[in-house]
Amino acid sequence: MGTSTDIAGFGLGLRSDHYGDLLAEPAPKVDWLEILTENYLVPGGPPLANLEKIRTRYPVAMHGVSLSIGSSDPLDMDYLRQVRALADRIEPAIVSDHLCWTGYAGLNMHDLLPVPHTEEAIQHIVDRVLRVQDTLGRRIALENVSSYVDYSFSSVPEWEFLSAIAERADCDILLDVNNIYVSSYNHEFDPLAYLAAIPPARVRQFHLAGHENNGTHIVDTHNAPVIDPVWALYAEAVRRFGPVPAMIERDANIPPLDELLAEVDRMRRAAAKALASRAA
Amino acid sequence: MRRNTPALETLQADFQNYILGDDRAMAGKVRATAKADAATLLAVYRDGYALRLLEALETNFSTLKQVLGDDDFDAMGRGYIAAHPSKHFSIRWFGDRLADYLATAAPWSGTPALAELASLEWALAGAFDSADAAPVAIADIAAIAPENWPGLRLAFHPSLQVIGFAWTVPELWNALNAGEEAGAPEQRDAAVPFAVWRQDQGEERQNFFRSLDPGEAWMLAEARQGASFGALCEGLCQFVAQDQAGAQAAGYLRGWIDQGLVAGVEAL
Repeated sequence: MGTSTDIAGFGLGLRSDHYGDLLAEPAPKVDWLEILTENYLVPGGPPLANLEKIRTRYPVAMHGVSLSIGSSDPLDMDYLRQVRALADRIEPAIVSDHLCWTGYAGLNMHDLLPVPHTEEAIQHIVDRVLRVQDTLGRRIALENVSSYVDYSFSSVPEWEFLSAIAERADCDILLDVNNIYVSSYNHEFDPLAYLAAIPPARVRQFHLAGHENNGTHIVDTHNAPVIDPVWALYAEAVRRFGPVPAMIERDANIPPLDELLAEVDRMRRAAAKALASRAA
Repeated sequence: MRRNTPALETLQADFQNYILGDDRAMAGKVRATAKADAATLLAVYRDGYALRLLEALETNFSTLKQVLGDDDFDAMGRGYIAAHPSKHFSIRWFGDRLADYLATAAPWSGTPALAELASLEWALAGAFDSADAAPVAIADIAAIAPENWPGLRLAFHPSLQVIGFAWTVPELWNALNAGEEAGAPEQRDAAVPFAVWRQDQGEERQNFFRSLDPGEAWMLAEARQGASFGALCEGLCQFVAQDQAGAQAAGYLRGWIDQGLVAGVEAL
């Protein structure tokens, strides 16, 4: 591949709407891109051809939605082999997926379903992360998801659950700052308590996104700009975790690239300011 | 562990059953908040499930949606989701059985053109991201010595599919995707085979489909089975006069090469 593998700075989720702009001259100013892994687990055609070209310009991270690390179903080894083949081909800096389950008994709900925060689930997931990392030949990062329900029998808060899994499985954390905000709103906890409990050495990447507030609850729609309280929480995260690679996700109402790059620049400025206040 | 903690597997079975329509499956298992009751929060998952899969169907079957209209497409989609829940890791493949479903499930099965439209759109979706293959150029063929022609065997672009249409569905698709008004598709006297494929030319990749006349359809089917060019010429005598069979076979081959269907030639 024509460009370095590691990522630093400020990125954007790659969406097919922006292939043309990202391949135009001069190369748009974004430090790295995150791809949705499953979009490229196809035999060929334009998605892979565009990705190969874009990869010569930008380092990438791979972000999956189908690992289903929390499911009681067996791991999908065919899926993992395909993920590994894609990773071998495009050399991503990070391979990540979500701390969730996506289906049971062979079905796929195509959703990021919440795992109960129990010791049984921790042990189950730790065992699976270890096997996934063996199969992929690399460490993975797990992302905290937005959730809408809180199981009445969960025995520890989500931040302890996530931290315990990361420590015991020796995996990284992709901290989605918007998801912390969304879940804190939905489950009425203090988002700062969440940040304070996460081990800094594990945090490898940040996500930021917009959402939809229905009053009774927030849905993680990725269809709008990041809101001010999430920017504030991001500043807190930068103060605590330092200059972690961060990016904007947009999956619906996708605007022209320039609009998203302006949001990436805002993230760049917010991080610089937070780091300066941290050093002071 | 507290006594009322269900095993992870039991919980996931219950939660999935709730998403798939069993209202009671999650009773008492999630907390209400000061802002929302448990039913409101759980419904985010059930509603999101249907909407996501409907959106996936809409992506792959946009012309079918146009033909059915929003309400019927929604009803049809929900029926399909219930009949064939997704089993693939990628939502890209959701809809792989839609043509079969439309052919067999009432009321859709009463309009056979719907299933044919779904099979055309699924073939186009498959052609879009099928494996890449460099097309053979006329110059590659011209370089083959005349004595090697009878033993020539062809390989085709991986995207190539041949589908029979008993209704004027491809014509309907063309009209609607050109932004034209189109009436209901008509039944043909006999099914007509169409080739569906992606043409790769350098950086450009584009989907095509077109009808095949009976001789060409026969020759293409045989060639895909590995028949030699000599055998193809001989077999074409079923369709044209013997002294024209060779020229006809060469003509078909020329068309296939011009249109990017041929991805390999092997002269034995």
